[in-house]
Amino acid sequence: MRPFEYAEPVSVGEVCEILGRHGEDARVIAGGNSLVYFLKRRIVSPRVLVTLQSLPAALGTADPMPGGGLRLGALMTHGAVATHPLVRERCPQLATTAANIGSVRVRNSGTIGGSLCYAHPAIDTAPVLITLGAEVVIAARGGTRTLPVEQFFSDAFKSVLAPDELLTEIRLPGHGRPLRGSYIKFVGQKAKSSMAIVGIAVAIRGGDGAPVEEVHIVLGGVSPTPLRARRAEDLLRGKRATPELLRQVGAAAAAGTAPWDDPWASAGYKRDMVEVLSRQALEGLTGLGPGYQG
Amino acid sequence: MAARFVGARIKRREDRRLITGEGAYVADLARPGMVHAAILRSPYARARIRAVDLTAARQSPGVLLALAFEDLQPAGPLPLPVPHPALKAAQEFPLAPGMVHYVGEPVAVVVAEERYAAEDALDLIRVEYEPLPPVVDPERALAADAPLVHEELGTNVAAHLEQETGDVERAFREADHVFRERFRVLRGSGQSIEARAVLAAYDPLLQALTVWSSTQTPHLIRRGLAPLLNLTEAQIRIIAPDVGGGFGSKGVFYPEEFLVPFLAIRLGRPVKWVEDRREHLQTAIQERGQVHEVEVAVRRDGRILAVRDRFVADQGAYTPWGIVVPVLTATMVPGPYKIPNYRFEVTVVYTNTVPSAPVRGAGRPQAVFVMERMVDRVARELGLDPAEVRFRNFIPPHEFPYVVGLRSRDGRLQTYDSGNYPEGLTRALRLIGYEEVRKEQERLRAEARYLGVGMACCVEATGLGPHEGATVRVDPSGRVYLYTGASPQGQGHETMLAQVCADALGVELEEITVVTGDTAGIPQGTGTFASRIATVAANAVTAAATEVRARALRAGAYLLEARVEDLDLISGRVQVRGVPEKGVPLGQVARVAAGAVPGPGSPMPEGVETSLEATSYFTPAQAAYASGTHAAVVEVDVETGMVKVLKYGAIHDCGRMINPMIVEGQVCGGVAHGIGNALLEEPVYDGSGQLLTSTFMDYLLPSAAEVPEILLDHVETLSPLNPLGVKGAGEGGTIPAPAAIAAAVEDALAPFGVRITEVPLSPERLRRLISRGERAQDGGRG
Ligand SMILES: Cc1cc2nc3c(=O)[nH]c(=O)nc-3n(C[C@H](O)[C@H](O)[C@H](O)COP(=O)(O)OP(=O)(O)OC[C@H]3O[C@@H](n4cnc5c(N)ncnc54)[C@H](O)[C@@H]3O)c2cc1C
Repeated sequence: MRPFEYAEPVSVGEVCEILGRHGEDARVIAGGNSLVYFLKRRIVSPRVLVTLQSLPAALGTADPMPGGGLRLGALMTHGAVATHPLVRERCPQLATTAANIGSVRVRNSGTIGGSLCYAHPAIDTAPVLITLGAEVVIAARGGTRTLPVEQFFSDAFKSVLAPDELLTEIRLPGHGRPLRGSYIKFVGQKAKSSMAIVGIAVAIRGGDGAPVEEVHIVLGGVSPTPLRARRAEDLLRGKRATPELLRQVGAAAAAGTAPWDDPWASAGYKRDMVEVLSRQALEGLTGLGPGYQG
Repeated sequence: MAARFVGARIKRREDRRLITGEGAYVADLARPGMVHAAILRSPYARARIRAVDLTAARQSPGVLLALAFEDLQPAGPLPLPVPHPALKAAQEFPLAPGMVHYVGEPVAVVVAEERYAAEDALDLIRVEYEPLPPVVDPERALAADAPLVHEELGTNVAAHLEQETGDVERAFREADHVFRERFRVLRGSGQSIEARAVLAAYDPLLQALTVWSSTQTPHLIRRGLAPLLNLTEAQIRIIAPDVGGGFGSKGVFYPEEFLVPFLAIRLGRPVKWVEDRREHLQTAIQERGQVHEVEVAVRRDGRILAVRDRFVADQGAYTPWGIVVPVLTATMVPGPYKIPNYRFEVTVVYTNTVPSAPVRGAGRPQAVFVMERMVDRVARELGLDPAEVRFRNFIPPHEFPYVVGLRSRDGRLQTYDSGNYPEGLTRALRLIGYEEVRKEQERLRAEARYLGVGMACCVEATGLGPHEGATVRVDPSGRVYLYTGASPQGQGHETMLAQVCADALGVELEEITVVTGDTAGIPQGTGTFASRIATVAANAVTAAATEVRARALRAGAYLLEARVEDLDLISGRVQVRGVPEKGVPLGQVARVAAGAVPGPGSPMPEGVETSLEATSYFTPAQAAYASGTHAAVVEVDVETGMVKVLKYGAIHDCGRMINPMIVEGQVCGGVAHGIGNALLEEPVYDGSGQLLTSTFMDYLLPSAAEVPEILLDHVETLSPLNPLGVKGAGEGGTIPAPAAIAAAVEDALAPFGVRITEVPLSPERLRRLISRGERAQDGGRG
């Protein structure tokens, strides 16, 4: 790790000011779970490290939004997301997802904003947020902009954030009738606290005995950025789920992926798991099976 | 004398320090003027080094020294502490001399005022490599056209060994059945929480070198270092402070053990090097890689008449522990079974991968995997219960000492001292509720859920020589100091040895300070490996403490004006038996022995030896054979290939348990390691010899969440080979685990006809086997 200056701003405006001044030479640090590793390995060597820990408390909490929606501060830790009553009530699958990220230590320090900005292809939060139609709020010296989470990622470990921008907030829209969803973090034989081999987020409206009106299937770990399984969604939308149809949906989801080999899982295995697990997830939501029994 | 402490479940005295962050590891230590080393490592598995240009590195800010092989004077080679007549050893140097042989081999070293400055300078070193095709696969290494790892040896074969007992040919001719199988055990490693670290300081005034090393073997480091640095052993003090785990990977004389002291002398400043995890994964020794072709000859009733095993052992690039691992495998294949005819043939081969040396289990997990898988095969082929086949083949409890018929690793006739293998299996099956599990398995199969049960038995040579010693000294304050060469890495030696000492001497536990891991504490030592400390060091402690007790009684006789025969040493007081008020505290006795009473100028009192202390070395004539039996219940998810360990029972026999709580901790930790070997741990090299698993994101370890509750029970067959009757307990938890889990998985997947012949078992490999089985069945039906 190379030496760096340490800045401790107390407002979003001040952070943006520092980032604007130093550009590529500055980096914000939230929980540090990913960044410190990058610093140690010298993958990044910023001259100025900007801690977010003294920003206003509102950046670390969740508030209701009109119409049943929610806003989550970018600095909310995974632990806070997992236990916040509003999150648990309005999007239980996000709370459960956060509860299964990393270890206790990672959950107590890792932030939801940091996890999105880290942009690991298998990050757990992103697929769930995308199935829920979430947006991010981004601040810079010149003002703020809002973007669907789906458009936030540009490549593996890359987001569309400019060097002088700060992610401040995640917004979950309200829905007339809430989407029912689930997330499968599949780690295979790896430690429960590790990153997923594949992550499968599914959310549907309808489907409980009736046709599936709306369906979102977003996959993690099988392409550089979270992948929406459009062909699979199209197959299911408007139809009544049957075991055979869900088998086809699973196969379609797998067919659209472009995974790579890792030492602990080949591309082929990842694809197979997408097929098996997206089918199981949908079986669970449509009452055709017990769902994933990890 | 009744044992008060030996056998008791006493909490480990080191734990408060270690788990509250009060431990002092090498990385925590600092010396005035200390500077930092960083090492440039080979990015190639096999390459010629054409040139190393250190100019820019030397000019980098804060850099004090940058060296390559040519700059080392002297330059090695590194010691080979365990030679073998059959071994064609390649010389290993602290920095690569013209060739690199594995990814991670040290090529150059930089010392700077700060660690980051040393690392900055590494980036500026220009090495001109000529990459050459490497040999990564051990079987490929035997091909006629395979590249040579060490051209100067003219072959990739490091050693070839054969041994036979009985008449194997004949047994195969006369057998009712012969079964053949090929097994692969992949590499694994020892991942301690603390990686390696060395800090060295040279005092020119005293001409003395002090080295703090995160090592399992301080005395062996001193032995290796002295000739390399042209110092006497008396000039070198090696201290292993708190060491955060070892598992074998800190039992080796690594290049850094030389480089750091060498640099400290050269610079005249203390030098520290702390390995990072990536370096540890890349360069710390590994083990296990073997490919076996095995045949068994059996009688109709399941009795195994003969075993023939031919295997290739992957040695990696060097032989830091000789060929101990393959020899241990070869000689331990027969395990707990009475097999009159056995032949092995092992070819040890060099590959362009990190060197192989013992990791917890040391060759035995492979031997057990091979033998136990074959026993399961026999059971399946003959339609017998796998437990029954084991009972039919065990060495009966009344046949000890049992002569196996082989020469073991120390060249002696391999003789098991004691054991009760049927009892072990009976208890293991009881632990997991074997009969009920079988019923449950039947029931769940109807629901397309796949439960399986497996078992594995092992015998393990523990407590190896040549010696370990103990000095017991009573300070004039009355405090007892115990010094030993047996340096711990978290096993609880301080507690266990204090228990032994307290009983033998007759003092309270709290009165004893145990000093480990310091060559200044005791002249000779061997170190911690091969599950040897409870056997070798503890018996040395008994002998030394017994001698001190005798001296204390003689000095007490002078002080109390009593006859030695009438005295006793109880709770730190020498007193007249039956008259406790007539006694003196041990400190007072120590002052007499120190010559403080009557005082300078007077003769020593008659019958009182100078200094209340004794040093004793225990030198075992042969190994004490511990044993273990494991039974596992797993469920396999046939859609994902995931294995869940539902129940795990482990029986261990380490003779007398000095502290059952410590033994159980060792067994549980060992099982976790074994589960890692069975399901997770695998250093993956690609075809070009690059290690693909150089972080814990890629090298998978079992975490607490993946290790099931381990049900424990013990068999205690005392060893007749040492006064305490103990055998080792450090590795028995690991050794049978891969075999037990493999057996359970195979049993679970019996409906698919899956055979497990390789570990670790990744979900992906399993799924492939399952779908192959499904296809075969579909084909069968269609
Ligand atoms: C052992 C371990 C296990 C893990 N397991 C999981 C898991 O199971 N599932 C999972 O999804 N994740 C996992 N993670 C990653 C975890 O989610 C981290 O919390 C996350 O990657 C980073 O969050 P952080 O707050 O620590 O960010 P940091 O490490 O501080 O920052 C990460 C990156 O984001 C940037 N950044 C952070 N916050 C902002 C912001 N508000 N605006 C702009 N840029 C920002 C930083 O500059 C940096 O580049 C794991 C991490 C570890 C170390």
